[in-house]
Order: sequence, then structure tokens, then C-alpha cells
Amino acid sequence: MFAGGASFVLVVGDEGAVLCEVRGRDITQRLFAASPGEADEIRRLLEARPRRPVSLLIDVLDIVIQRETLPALAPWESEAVVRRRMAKAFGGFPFTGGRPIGREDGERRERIYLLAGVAPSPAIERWHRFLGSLPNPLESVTLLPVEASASLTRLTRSLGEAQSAWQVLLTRERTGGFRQVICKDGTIVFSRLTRTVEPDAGADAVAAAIEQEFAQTIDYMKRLGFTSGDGLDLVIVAAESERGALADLPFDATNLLLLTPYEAAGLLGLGRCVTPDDAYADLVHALAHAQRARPRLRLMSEAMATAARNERLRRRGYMLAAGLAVAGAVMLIIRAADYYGVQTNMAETERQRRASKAQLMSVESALAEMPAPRDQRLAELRSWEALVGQRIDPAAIMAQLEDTLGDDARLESLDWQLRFAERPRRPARRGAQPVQDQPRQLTMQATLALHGVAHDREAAVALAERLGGRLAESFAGYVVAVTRLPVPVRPSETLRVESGGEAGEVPVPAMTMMVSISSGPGEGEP
Amino acid sequence: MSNLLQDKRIVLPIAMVLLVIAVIWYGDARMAAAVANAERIQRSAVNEVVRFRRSSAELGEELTYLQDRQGLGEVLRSAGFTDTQDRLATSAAVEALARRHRVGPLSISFAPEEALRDRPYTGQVLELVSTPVTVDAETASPADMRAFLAALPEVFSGVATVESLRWRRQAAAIEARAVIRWETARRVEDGS
Repeated sequence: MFAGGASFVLVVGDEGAVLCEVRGRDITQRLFAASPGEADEIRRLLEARPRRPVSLLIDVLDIVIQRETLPALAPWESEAVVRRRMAKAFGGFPFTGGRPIGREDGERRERIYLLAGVAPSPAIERWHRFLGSLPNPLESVTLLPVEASASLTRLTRSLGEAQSAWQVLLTRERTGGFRQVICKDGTIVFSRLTRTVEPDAGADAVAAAIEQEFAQTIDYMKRLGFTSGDGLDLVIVAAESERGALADLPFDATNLLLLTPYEAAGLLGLGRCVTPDDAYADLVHALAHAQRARPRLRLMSEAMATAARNERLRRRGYMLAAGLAVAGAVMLIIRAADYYGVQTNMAETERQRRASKAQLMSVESALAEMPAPRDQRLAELRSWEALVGQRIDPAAIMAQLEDTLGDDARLESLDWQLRFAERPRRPARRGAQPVQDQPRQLTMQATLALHGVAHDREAAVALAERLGGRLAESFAGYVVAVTRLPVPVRPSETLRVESGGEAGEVPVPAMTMMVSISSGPGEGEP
Repeated sequence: MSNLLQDKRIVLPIAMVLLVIAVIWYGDARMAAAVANAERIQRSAVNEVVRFRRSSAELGEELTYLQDRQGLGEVLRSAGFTDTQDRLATSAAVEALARRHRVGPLSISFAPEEALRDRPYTGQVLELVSTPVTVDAETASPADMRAFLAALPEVFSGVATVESLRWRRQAAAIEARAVIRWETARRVEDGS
């Protein structure tokens, strides 16, 4: 607890106080004062070392210790509940404290708290004021019986498996009297302080007083459920001179340990604090407390609690600032990574921009060398190509037609139409082929006079069908259809046949057929 | 709370929290602005790259087109594609052609010309001058008529396309009526 330099433990009792200067594992100086008014030496020592903290170990009669069972609550709720319970139990007490010591069995697992307080008394107030008048910081306020319960656990460790659930430590303090600490399962249950005997009392008188007080303690314990069959370890720390008298007494205990303060200090692993002849254990308690890493129960005054709360808030403030700083740093790192990523991409984009600009300038300079004006020239060329591309030479078509017919038929008439497909009503979508670029649609209707069939209807129809086949072959890519046969023999047509009689010959119409040739689905398509 | 405020040591952590928040807020704002600015510049550069590439592609296509057709300009000029339509000269040329192919009688009719700007490649710099010309002709032989019709578009300046043709073989003659679409190009004058 006080590793690294000298510190002080002030054990305060109803009969006075002992200041112990602790250095390392030893008590190097001890000063007793019956009251603050007689504590000049103590004051001088503390003022000589103003920065050394003082730990207050209270061992007065007006100590209240109780166990409270509280519902299982969240950590941030339990503190306030404990504070309220302490305020209710110890209202007006100058020092109070509480800590959880375990849980109840069962499903609800309620928490058991050890609550303790020091009732107001003139002695405590005076010593508190005395310490407040000194420059030394008050490190902690603790209760001697609570801290001694830790020593009791350690002292009975030598019993091994023979240890009992109930244990009692009885010590004699110069500052108070006989202090009894009663523990069950290692946790303090209650404590008793009884007035000491006269300083010059004999060993038998002391032993008798101890026996009497212990008997009363047993009565208290029985009220709390102790039975003689439970087993009890009794540790009595007394002077060497009293050992014989005590050993002869029939204590109602399963295990009895009679120790001198000197032996107790040895078992607790303490350094120099008492001599083999010492009868009082104040210094043993003080040094054991000083060398413990953390007190079992820390008490606080209202001002100390406020200061502690403020300190916690301050620490949380620092932690919040640190957390925010870390979060902010992470956020800024992410932003920086974004920025770095954009900058990296930017370099590539800039390279592409320069390259594409250079390419554009190269094309522009090549275009600048072309004869001007470029737009007009482009429009002229494209219009020319579009118009020329749409031309179809009717003479060539007629020549091809007549070549295909040969001597089997002769072109009698021709109706030729070359026109654009119907123009779309809406503007053409982007990229669509312009109307002028679309191929013009040719529709051609030809009337052919058949040769070499005379008035033979069947031959004429056969020839017409042959010619239709030849034309379709010749005008591949066009739609060729025979729209009218020389004789209307199709089922959908009306055929009328008239024969010559005695009255004379009936005129026979010329054998002609009609053919439709179109570059798309034409009018004459059957 | 009052106790807390009386403890002056609480000022330091509060100040630290506020300072950290301020630094984070300021730093984040600056970084966010820098990132946004960099992204804006990059977007602009990307758009520029796209624009340059598109322009390069379009102009490159024009360049290739013009380079591939360097000789075509002379063809256009010699064909009179950009010349004013001369009806008298054209009708005289048609008459001469008819005489050569023994066509007679002959009738030529020029309809009013149309200026077309709604065709592809026209509008801004060029308009098409389009004139329907109706030619009625009669010949004794089909060969003469075919030869006449074959040569007819060539006597027109620019591009002449036979849009319709009515061809009839009569007892002693061949009759034909051709409607020709005569088209030349004309530069669009500013403000016209």
C-alpha cells in the first residue's frame, strides 16, 4: 500500500491514537497521544513530512457494521442504491462505506453488501479536525475490525482443513480495549469492543475478562444462527505473560490459537512493528493494514465522497476526451485515405486527360489541313453519296426484264414508282439511319404479251408460270409476283369460257399476263 | 452539481473534451472539404476526358471520311452538284438528247423548285434544291426509248433520279412519261 516511501497510519480509538510511521515493511516510529490536544509530537512529525499521506484506521466503540441484501442491479444503478441505503442506515455519520461481498443463493442472485459507518463522537470529530489542520493528504479511512478480518483469515490458514466456518479474533488495543472480530466464511459478521482492564491488572484478571467477553460473544453468535456443532476457530492475541492463564481456560472453541502480537506479526509476514514483550496489537493491525494492497472497506466522509465523485467524473472526462481523440483520429485517417485515393485516381485521370487532349489536338490539326469550309464540304459529300446511292436506273431494269423474257414475251407496258418509305412521324432516334439514307422502295408493274401460245390456254398459263419463275430468279432480292395470269384460272378468280358455234368464231383475247416486281412487300403481292 | 462546479480541476477535462471535439470538427470539416474539392476536380477531369474522346472520335470519323473522299469533290464540281439549276440549259440538253435518240414529240415540264433543309446533312450549312421535272416522250422503237431514258438523268446537273415512269407500247409507237427528281445543293447563307 505504501510501497516506495514512508507513510503514516493513525489508529484512532476511544482511549487515544497511535501514529505509526511505516517505511517499507517496518514501522520505524510510533507515537501515542490520548487526545489531539496532547498530540504535539504527532503534529510535528506529520508537519515534517507534509506530502506523506495519512491512513486513518478507526477502532472506536461506535462502529456500526451490517450486511444488506440488495436486488441485482446494473453497476450504474447499484451505486446510487447503496448510497441511499447508507444514508438511511447511517444518517449523520461522519464516515460511511459499503462494498459487495457476495451473492445470495437462488435464481435472483441478489447481492450482499457490507455496509459500515462510524457514529458521530467527539473523539472522532476531534481527530478528524486534527488531521484536517495538517498538510498531509488523507489517503483512506478504514475500520480496524473490518481490516482485521483479513488478518484473521491469514492467521487461521495454519489450521488447514481443520478450519471452521465461524472464526473469532480477539486482540487487545492500547487505543480502545478488547476488540473481537467475528467472521463467517471469511467475511465479518459483527464486531465487539469492550473496555480494557486496568493497565496493571494481572494475567489472571485479563484472562478472566477475555473469557467473559468471549462468552458474551458466543451468545451474540447464537442469535445469528451459530450452534456449538458448527465449529469455531478462536485466535487470541495477548501478552506472553497471559498465555498460561488463557491456556488453562475452557474456551468453547473447536480450534484455539494463542499468539503474542509478535507471533501474530510473524504469521502475517510483517516486518518490525512490535517486540516479543508487547501486549497490544494496535501496531500489528496498523502495519498489516499498511502493507495490504487495498483496504477491505474504504469509508468516506461527505466531503471525501464528493471529492471522489468529482475525481471519477474528472477521470471519465479524460477518458471521454481520449476516446473522442481516438475516434476523431480514426475518422480523420479514413478521410485522409479517401483524399489519398482521390488524389491517386486524379493522377491517372490527369494522364488520360492529357493524352485525350493531345489526340484531339492532333485530329483537329489534321482536319485544319483539309480544304475549307469543312462543314459544307462534309454536307455536300454526304448528301451526294446519299442521293446517288438511292438512284435506280429504269432503263437497266427494263433491259434486265426484257433479257429475262427473251422471245417468250414482250413488254407491253410498265408503271414504275421509286419512292421513300413512309417517313416516320417522330424524329428518328439518335444513331438511326437517316431517311435519305434509307433505300428507296421500287414498285414496278409490267404487262407482258406472251408469244408462241396462240390460243392454247393451258400452254399460256404454263408459260406464264415459267416466266414468273425466271423473273423471280433474275430479280433475286426483289419480290416478284405474277399478279394476273393470261387466263383467270385461280380459284379466287372468275373464269368465263366461250366457244365458237355455227354462227361463227368467237374472238379470243390476247394472251397477256401482269407481273409485279418490288424491292419490298409490294402492291401486287399475292 | 454545485460541488462539481466548485471543483476547479473539472475545468481541465471539460476543456479537453471541448478542445478535442473542436479539433475533430474542424479537422473533419477541412478534410471533408478537401475530399469534396478533389472529387469535384476529378469529376471535371473525367468529364473532360469523355468530352475529348467523344470529340476525337467524331472529328476522327470526319477526317477519315474526308481523306477517303478527296477525289470526290472534283466529281461533285464536274457534275454541277453545287451549281444553280439552269432550266433553259437543261431543257436544251434534254431536247438534244431526244434528237439523238429519235424521240418526238417531246414535252418537258419543270415544277417550282423546293428548298429542303430538313434532310439529313442539310440545315446549318447546306440545303437541297429539289425540282420535279416531267418528261413526256414518244419513239418508234423501244430501244430508242430505253437509250433515251438511260441517258436522261445524265443531262441534269447534280443528281437526277427517275421517281416514276409510265411506259406504254402502242400500235406504232412507244410512249413514256418520266417524273425526274432533280436535286442540287446550295450553301445556306447566314441569316437566310
